[in-house]
Amino acid sequence: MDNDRYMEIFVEESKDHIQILNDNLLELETDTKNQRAVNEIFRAAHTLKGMAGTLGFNMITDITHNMENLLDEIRSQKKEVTAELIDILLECTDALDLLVQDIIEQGSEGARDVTALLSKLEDSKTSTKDMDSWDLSYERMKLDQYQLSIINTAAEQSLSPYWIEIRLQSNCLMKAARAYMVFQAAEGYGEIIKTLPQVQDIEEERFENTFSILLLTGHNEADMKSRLELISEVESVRIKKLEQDIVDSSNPPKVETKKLADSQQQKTPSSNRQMRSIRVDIERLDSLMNLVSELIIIKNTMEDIGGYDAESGMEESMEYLSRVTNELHDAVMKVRMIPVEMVFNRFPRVVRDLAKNTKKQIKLNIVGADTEVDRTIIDEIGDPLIHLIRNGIDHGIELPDERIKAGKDPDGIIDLVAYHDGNNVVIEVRDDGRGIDLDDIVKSAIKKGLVSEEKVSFLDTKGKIDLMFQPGFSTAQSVSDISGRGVGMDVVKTKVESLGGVVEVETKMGQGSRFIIRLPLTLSIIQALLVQVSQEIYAIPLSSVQEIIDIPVSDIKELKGQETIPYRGALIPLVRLDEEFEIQLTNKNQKTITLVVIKKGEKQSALSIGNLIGQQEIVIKSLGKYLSDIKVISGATILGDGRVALILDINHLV
Amino acid sequence: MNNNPNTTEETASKQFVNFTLDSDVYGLDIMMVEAIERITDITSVPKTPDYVLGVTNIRGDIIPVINLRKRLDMDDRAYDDKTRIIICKFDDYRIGIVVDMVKDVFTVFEKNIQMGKDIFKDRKNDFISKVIELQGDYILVLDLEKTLDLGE
Repeated sequence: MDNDRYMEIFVEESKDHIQILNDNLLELETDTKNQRAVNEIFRAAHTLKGMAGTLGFNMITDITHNMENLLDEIRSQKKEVTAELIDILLECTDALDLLVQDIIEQGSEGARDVTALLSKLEDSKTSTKDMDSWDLSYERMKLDQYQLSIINTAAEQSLSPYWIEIRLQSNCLMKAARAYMVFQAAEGYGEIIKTLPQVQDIEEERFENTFSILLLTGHNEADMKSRLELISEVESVRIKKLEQDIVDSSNPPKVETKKLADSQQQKTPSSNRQMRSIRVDIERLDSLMNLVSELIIIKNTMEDIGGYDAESGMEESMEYLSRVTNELHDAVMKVRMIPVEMVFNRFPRVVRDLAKNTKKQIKLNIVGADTEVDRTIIDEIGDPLIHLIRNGIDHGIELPDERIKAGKDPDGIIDLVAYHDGNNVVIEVRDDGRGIDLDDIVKSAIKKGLVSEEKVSFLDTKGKIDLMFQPGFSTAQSVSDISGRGVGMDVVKTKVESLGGVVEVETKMGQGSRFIIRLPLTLSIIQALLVQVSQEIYAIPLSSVQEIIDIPVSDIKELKGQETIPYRGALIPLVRLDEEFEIQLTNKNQKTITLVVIKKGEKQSALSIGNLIGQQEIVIKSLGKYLSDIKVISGATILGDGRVALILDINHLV
Repeated sequence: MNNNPNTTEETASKQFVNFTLDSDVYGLDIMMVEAIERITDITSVPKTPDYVLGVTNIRGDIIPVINLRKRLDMDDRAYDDKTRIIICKFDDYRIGIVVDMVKDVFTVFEKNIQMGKDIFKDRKNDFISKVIELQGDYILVLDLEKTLDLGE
């Protein structure tokens, strides 16, 4: 039980750490001197190692351990940050991600072969580090004004600065404890004014086997050396007296120290923000949401009961209750809202990899990452977005020389933009590539038999674009591993629609394309039209209702067994809900019938209903697992009088 | 009375909810029973088998309701003031079954429970997993999974 809980925490946190690895590696790639990024990566790898170690995930421990070794060399500037190095580290991150996925799915690491990766890591480590490490760490000793002044004052008291490098045995288990003993011993001789890495890092064992201290003392080298070497598990001690001019010459790099401090300050707000949020189990939120839904239903009930007696102040109280429930509902909804950043933050990596694979130069602009959407949407929208981005890079953005020829910047731009628009969240994926060639689409669609040649001539731009979303469509000349597998765009469309959203496309030849995904802000409470068929009440999502019309029965025309009605100059199919649902109608001989015209994308149908009840805000509830495979019903809601009304799934009625 | 199922073979016991359909007495493992409700408004759901009565609102939860008589090929019978819906829980399913009457909850020693398959030859009676002898009466224990075709 307890282990389960740890596992949960491990899974949650390791995802965060892997994200940190990804983000900072990308940052490091653009700015190879970014010490803060190196530290972040190191910290993330170290924490992962620790957590995986306690839970016995050996592969993760091995990988992170070796990453740490490599990073330590970068951190102590024994090694340059190169493109290959970043690649290897990213590869490790991917491997970690896969292993964590394994753990989520099976509770243990899958049978993956990481030896190749490990040896790659091993290879990239400098083998000659012992030779030059001394000079390097010595050189890196950047002192700030305060430390310099201490040294200068100390010099007057004939105390000299000594640079002491301590190397612990590689099998040392309690490095921090040994380091502490070293500090204790050193402090017996004088004052420690600087350590490398920082004291905190040493205390938390964030160092490999060596660390250094700068000690001000009047004692002689040999004494100190023999004393420090007595500490168990200390492998070697090297001491060097610093000359005054060396201390002085360390002035210029001071700027860099400052920069480092700056970037650390920049980091503070974000870590503060992390502190302000807590993880909440989605089920708990759901139960909170259910309670609020209850409240809304009770409110509806009370409104139904009516008995509005002005004197009793009932109306006033009702209004008050209304307001409170609405506010409570909003508040709970907000808790369920998560910034799209959660999805977006994995895209820089995706774009980088794709750009590399396709040999294109691509800049990714993310705008509105703090736009909040419902948790359910966050979980589902990632794949469709990745697909659109892949498409944009693979089919949209041209190769650099092609772009130069076209008079464009060699760097292609992918914009990922999110914003709120009324009750919708809009996510746009734009590229400034070559645009979608509609003729190509049409040709390809005809070739694949998705549309006949005669029909094509009737298609407008939108109709042609829609061909792209048909199952089995792909315009890629050659099938790449990025996109163009013939699946994809239709999957994007289906997914977005299953979330109650729509996809729109705008494109201009030579200038780029724009995919606009419009999603509802929330999925659990919607505006609906309540209709009655005989005794049964059904709810139709208002977003798919086009119009409500009354027509004379004589207008209904039967064509080849399909009933149709004329609507805005065209014929649309008539769906009789009573027949569809096998409901006995009481009075069949009416002169006119009431129809709800529903639309799904471009398709329209007229639903025959008995009576119209009206518009209401309804709480969507699931029908449960037992009835989960009924296609025409998407869920149910509880009416004010406690009865259940089914919600029609328009996708399966049009 | 011993309610602890973890005792020795001799005294190990189980509790069952006891209900009737016509003259047959049935039992349901109490661990599966979540609540017993009076019959409420049931909204019929299209495109479902005829033994699915529809869904009902049990304190804010939507619960599918099964006509057990129809499922067991018995004649329909009008509801009366003894008719009850037993809300059952099985894996992730929550399902209500309509029964004529709920009698009581009884405790039985494991040694008094016989496996249904040892008694019935006809596959038709597959949904009866066990038979319990209780003071001269025989109680049929429903196998909910088989009765409702769950987990398929």
